[in-house]
Amino acid sequence: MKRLNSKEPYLMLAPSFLLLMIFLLYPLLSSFLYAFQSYKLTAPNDIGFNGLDNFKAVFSDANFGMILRNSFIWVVVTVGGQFVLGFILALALRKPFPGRNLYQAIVFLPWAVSSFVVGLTFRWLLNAEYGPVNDLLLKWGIIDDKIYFLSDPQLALFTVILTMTWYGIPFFAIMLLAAMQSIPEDLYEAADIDGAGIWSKFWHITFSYIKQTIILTLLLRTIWVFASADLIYIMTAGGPANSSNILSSYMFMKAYATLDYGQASAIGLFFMALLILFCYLFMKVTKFEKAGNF
Amino acid sequence: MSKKWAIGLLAGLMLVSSACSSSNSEGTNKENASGSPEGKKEEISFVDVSPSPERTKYFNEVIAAFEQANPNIKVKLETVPWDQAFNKLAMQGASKTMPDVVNMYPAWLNTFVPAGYLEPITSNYDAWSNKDKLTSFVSGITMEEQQRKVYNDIYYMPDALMSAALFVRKDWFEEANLPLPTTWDELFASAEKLTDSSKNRYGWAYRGARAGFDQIFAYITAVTGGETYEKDGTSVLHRPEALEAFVRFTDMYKKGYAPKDSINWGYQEMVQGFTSGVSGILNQTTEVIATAKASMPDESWTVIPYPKGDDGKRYIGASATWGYSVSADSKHKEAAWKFIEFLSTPDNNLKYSNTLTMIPIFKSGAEDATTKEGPMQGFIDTLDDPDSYLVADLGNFPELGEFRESIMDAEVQKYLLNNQSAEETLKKLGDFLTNAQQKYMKEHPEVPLPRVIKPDMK
Amino acid sequence: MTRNQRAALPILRIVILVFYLLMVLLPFYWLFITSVKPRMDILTTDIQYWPKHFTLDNYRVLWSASNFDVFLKNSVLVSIGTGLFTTCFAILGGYALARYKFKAKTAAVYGLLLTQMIPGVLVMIPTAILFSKVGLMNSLSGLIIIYIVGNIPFCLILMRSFFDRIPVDLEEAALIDGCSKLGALFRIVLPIMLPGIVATFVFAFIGAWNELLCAIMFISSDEFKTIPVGLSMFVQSYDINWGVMTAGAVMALIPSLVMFAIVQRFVVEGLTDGAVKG
Repeated sequence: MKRLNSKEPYLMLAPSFLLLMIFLLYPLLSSFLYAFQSYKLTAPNDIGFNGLDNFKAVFSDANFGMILRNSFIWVVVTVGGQFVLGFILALALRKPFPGRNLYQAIVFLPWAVSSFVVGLTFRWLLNAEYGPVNDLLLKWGIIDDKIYFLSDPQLALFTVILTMTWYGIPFFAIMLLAAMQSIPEDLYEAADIDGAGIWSKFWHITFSYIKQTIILTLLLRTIWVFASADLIYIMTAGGPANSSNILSSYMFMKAYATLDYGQASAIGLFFMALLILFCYLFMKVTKFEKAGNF
Repeated sequence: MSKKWAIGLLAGLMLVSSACSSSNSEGTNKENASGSPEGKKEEISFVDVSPSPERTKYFNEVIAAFEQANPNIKVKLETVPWDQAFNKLAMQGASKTMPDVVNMYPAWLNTFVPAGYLEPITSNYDAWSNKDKLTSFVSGITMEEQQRKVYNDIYYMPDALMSAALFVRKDWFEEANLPLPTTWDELFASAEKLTDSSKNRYGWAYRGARAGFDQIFAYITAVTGGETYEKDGTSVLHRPEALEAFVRFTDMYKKGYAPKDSINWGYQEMVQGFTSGVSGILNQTTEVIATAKASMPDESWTVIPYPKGDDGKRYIGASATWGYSVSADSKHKEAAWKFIEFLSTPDNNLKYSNTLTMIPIFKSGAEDATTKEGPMQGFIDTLDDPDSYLVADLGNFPELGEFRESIMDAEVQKYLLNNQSAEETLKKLGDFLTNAQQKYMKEHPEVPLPRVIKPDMK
Repeated sequence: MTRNQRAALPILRIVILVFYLLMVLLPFYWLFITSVKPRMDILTTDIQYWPKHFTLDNYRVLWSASNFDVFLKNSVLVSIGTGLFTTCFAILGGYALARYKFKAKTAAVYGLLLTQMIPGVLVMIPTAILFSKVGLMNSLSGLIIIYIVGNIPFCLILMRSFFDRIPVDLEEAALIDGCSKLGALFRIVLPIMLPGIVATFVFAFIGAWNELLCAIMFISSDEFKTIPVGLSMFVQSYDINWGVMTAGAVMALIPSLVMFAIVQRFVVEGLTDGAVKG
């Protein structure tokens, strides 16, 4: 590590942080204030401090428990799925093969599509009445009765998770692939000479070399997936009966359906508190600080 | 090597910056040019909240004609997709960037008026030359009942009317040798007879999500004589006949006369259910005619009047499809009103209504031959029928947004999934509505209770 | 490795590759054939897996009736702008975070993480108010700024992790050889980091390319709309014009496809060049 007293790092970070402060910090602080106020856009003359009322209202919603549970399932299964499947893909792509450029270009495409197109398309594909998936499964005799992917409360959440996983695999694949590329080939050759098996090579070389990247991408990806609401909104609108509603979609619908910014901000603060807690635990478990990240 | 990097990077940045800023300045340059000293040239913005190729084409034509007749005013057409329209307008209202003329949705009045985003156009309306040419439905109901009596002011000019009717698969009825239904009882019977799940055919296009409760409530009001509240603000959902009606209607789903998937169906899916040949009867409004025409051969479907209840009366929902308002923060309110006036001339209104298959707001338009042809006739006849009454609406309280978005359908879905009894469902919904309505009545004693009205097209 | 294991590997690999290809291609196949079907054939219970009536009408409507060419131009501008600026800021900042030790460092990294947790919904209205005050509403520059703000934290952290893997000795060697610090950065380090830099650019580009919500909220006039906004116009309250929308979605894939294909070359080379010597 260089220069302890230089001004350089501050200069280099300046443009990024300047932008962030202006456009994120200021709105964030306003939201902090709203959470403790009665702030309904429909009652502009009625704005005033109301303490913890917003929070009370939110927590006493009968559906809140289910929403939290759904959020947890959503994050764990989606991020897990994206990570594992993305990793497998990256491993398969690591060594060149004829046509790899074209193959990569195609297989990363889901990521380039706008989420609402993905949501609408999958909603159609998995439709029980005129969707191709059910049609094919029935025709091929794999199932006897239609699967109600989006209207069965047991399945709805997992169907959206499936879509979100499909959508997010390219992201992990690209990040992990780029990270893996920096592993020197000689390490593998040396391991081969030593007689190491596939699993040993994978675990001790590939995995440990890119551990940093994995931890970081997992952390950030978890935060994003937790915050994302658009696929849910498009595919099920949180239904049926809130079975696929998660904290972020709930917050979105509250904010815009009721224009009650006080409550929406309260949910937002709670949302952030959960994430901060998660980060704290995650970093402790992965020994983030010890890994020399600070 | 490093020089090449730096130069390449710099060039890229500069190229992008100049491209973007030129796009910006194009916008401002236009304004500067039009702000030239001779003649005050104004530019107003107009947002269309439900854009489609037909609407955009129509508005571009109208704008061109308007600009020709008013060389000092330029109109900029903006569009926002319907799904995000309310959100965006709410944000624009809060940030004071609402366009000058807003294509309004009547239900939004409940939130936008108290929030102060819309400019009252009462004096403009009262002085308007075409006022007497309106159908009494529009002048009496849309303008007086729904606006002046509630808000003391007029806030929007309706663009056209829509009302509900039944779209039916004529060919299925003929196959099954069934007469077309005229009452609710006949409708329920038809839904049962038309259902044949082996052929993937279902009688009723059920709407289980995204305002699905509206359809159920439409039937409930058929047994409550069109009322939605008692005199003291208690919701009619607490009445025993409401419970019966609720169960009867939702039985169409529970007994399988609608696809199991339809618990998740919103507006799009229920229409698609009809046009794709899954459902035989669809309760919808005039604008769907265009979609049906484009997706299905003419001989297979038709429109029949809304069903009558046991008392021989027909309770329908009909209202303005959208409307035009002036935003409170507009800096060109006069020019904005001029544009609205132009959009609302009898000729333009007729053209608009025909293009989009909606009912015109003027007497002359409703009488016009082009309006009366084809499926539209069914809708107009319904409104003219002496047995037709306009159902009372759900009220004007701001909590309506939340009720419609997050509460009503979720509760009904719980019942459809057998997680909740019908009594409990109606109790929850009824309590919410009662509380909100009673609170509203206390704060606004001068606003009359929502009530049944007799519509008149003449 | 046993001989069996050695033999099984390539086969396993092929199976995996084929599986992923199918998984990706099937929905896209569906998008594509929908775009070449006439309206009546699209939503039927008698599903056509191969179009009975092949038509290019949807594409014709896309290019003539909607402003797709404008949307395309805007999307390209905005995405490239976002990618370039974000990558530049990320390179600078990432380098600072990786190589320097300074007082505010821990706070800075935590701060970056914190920014990712802020729900967009809450920030929307205050940002809109801010934008309208400085005249950035309804402008491409405004949109680029929003996208940069949205992508910078991740890209910063990402670049920093890529920098971390380059041993410091490389630069020190260069400095001893007489390079300036910046020169060392440009001449020695960046070329090795090429895959990481390209990955960062791609990430920021795609983040801007397929974003919908902010584009709808902050852009109002047709001349500045991006592709996702343009496509969402085909989704009306009761009707989705699948034919034209999928035609647009297919067309929007082409630039991404091209970009991915070109970019692969950069991601692949640069490491096997054996820059990292023992």
